[in-house]
Amino acid sequence: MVGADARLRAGSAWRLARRELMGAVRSPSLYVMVTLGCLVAAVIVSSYLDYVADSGTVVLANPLRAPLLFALLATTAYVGLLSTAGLAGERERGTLEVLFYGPVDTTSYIVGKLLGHALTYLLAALAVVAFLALTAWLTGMPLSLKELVLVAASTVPAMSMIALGLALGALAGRIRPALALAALVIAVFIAIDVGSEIAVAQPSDTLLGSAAGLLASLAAAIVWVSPMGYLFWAEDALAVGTVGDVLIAVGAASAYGLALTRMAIAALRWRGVQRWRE
Amino acid sequence: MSLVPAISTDQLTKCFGAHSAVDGVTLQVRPGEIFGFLGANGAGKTTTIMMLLGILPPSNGSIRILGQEMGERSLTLKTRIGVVSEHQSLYGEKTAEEYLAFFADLYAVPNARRRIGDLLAALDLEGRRGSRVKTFSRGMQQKLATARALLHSPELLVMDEPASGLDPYGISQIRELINEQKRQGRTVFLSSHLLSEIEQTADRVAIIARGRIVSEGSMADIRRELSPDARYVLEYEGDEGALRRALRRVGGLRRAEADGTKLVLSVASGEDARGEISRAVAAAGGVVLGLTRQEMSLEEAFLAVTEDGFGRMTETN
Repeated sequence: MVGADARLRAGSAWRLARRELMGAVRSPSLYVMVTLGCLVAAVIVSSYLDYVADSGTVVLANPLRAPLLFALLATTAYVGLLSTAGLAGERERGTLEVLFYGPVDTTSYIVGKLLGHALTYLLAALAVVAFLALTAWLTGMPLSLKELVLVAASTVPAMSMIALGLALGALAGRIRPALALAALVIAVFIAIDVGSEIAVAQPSDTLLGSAAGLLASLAAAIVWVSPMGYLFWAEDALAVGTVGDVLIAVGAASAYGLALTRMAIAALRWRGVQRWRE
Repeated sequence: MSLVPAISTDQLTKCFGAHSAVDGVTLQVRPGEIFGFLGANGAGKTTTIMMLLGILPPSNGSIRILGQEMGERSLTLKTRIGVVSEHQSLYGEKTAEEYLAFFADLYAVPNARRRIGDLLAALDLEGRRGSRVKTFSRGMQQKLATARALLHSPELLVMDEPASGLDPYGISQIRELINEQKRQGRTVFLSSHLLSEIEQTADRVAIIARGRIVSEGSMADIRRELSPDARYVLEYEGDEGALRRALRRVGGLRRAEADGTKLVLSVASGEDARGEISRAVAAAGGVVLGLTRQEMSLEEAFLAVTEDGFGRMTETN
């Protein structure tokens, strides 16, 4: 019976993942995600081109790495919000309860949602890479295989973000407070992660430059709890480290993602799947 | 047919803080029967059902469904149960066919397309198979949810207020569908506050009030249990005072109330008292114009047990 239940659980998780992916393909969410990623990448590429137009030259080892990284960051944040809204919305509408009448439990539901959103993220990330490949062809900027490795590695932090989003969606209950909570958490992570990255590059006599130390300390403190922190870790390992460093970064992100997934399962089990009735 | 109870609960209890929504419910639903679960709103019906389905964990007690222990992770067991809930929560953007196809996939229903077509036809939804669910009336949504519950041919069908939002024709269709399940040897657990629904379809009934089972048995058992007094309506000609004095000799007479030109007599149930009453009328010099014995309707029994009966039961306890 246990074996039959496990097979059913795996089958249900896969069916839910497929439903999630097909739903994203048929709805605006995937296209909004791709547009957001491309837009972020385009703004950074455009700033490079403007700089070249103004100053004549810019020296960058991997000019499309930062546009890709920030595009992936935006996409990760968006998919996190999407997972929160998906779970909270499904419970608010009562469709979550109906799923649980059948061969679905908290584990298969969370794993199914996680896989579905991760596949959606991967599709969006590949679309951003295609956009950057087009940019590379038009501008002559190099796009290396490492960028594809970064996309593959970024799937793990993205899954952590999805699991975090699912946990917040399970905890908050209704869609609006769930989204507000998730947006707040993600905004804090981005502000610290991205702020510290930008501040480090600023002269120390500027306001942001003077805050670099504080932001770096905060970033170091939250690197273990922010999915974005793991993305930056993987990118750093890819830029200056060895294959082993990349694997360690991905491994740490995987362990964190697993912990967040278990947290999401526990949160859903604790708060229940029933629609909250007035 | 299996002798294992389709549903068996023992001292099932659910507390929300200090409040007991369900308090020590012990039930046995026999395989192949239509079991009515009757109670007013807030009596604990839906909470009980949610525990039976593994959606809510019980605070205390045990549940066995189709001979197996039920829990949130009992997935194989869940595939043997079909559920129609009171609040139909459907995917509004999907068409009826897409909706059923998703659940057919989830339950791994063989020959899903044919099964979906058959169910849509049986529930008069065939013409709307390509329409988005959000355009459906409440009654149509209820039928679609019923189709979903029957997709995988469950051994046990749990229905919470299945007639909710349906017109008389829809109610009759659902009733026929419930009876069809029984003919096919399936067990139906039918929860409702619509007494007429339960009365017309259920083989046995349990009445729940304030989280406790206050009565359980066949319709006849429940009427007998709830109506210890038989009621006789007497139409007569003669002097009421003399008649009342004569009626005192009728064994077991508890009350005689005037209702216009009639007397309504409450007599302890047992032997038919019509002969004694007729003789009492004759002894008072009156004439019997009509004398009928009235059965208590289930509605009256339901009201009696949920209002007075609960108090009576707690006093006994």
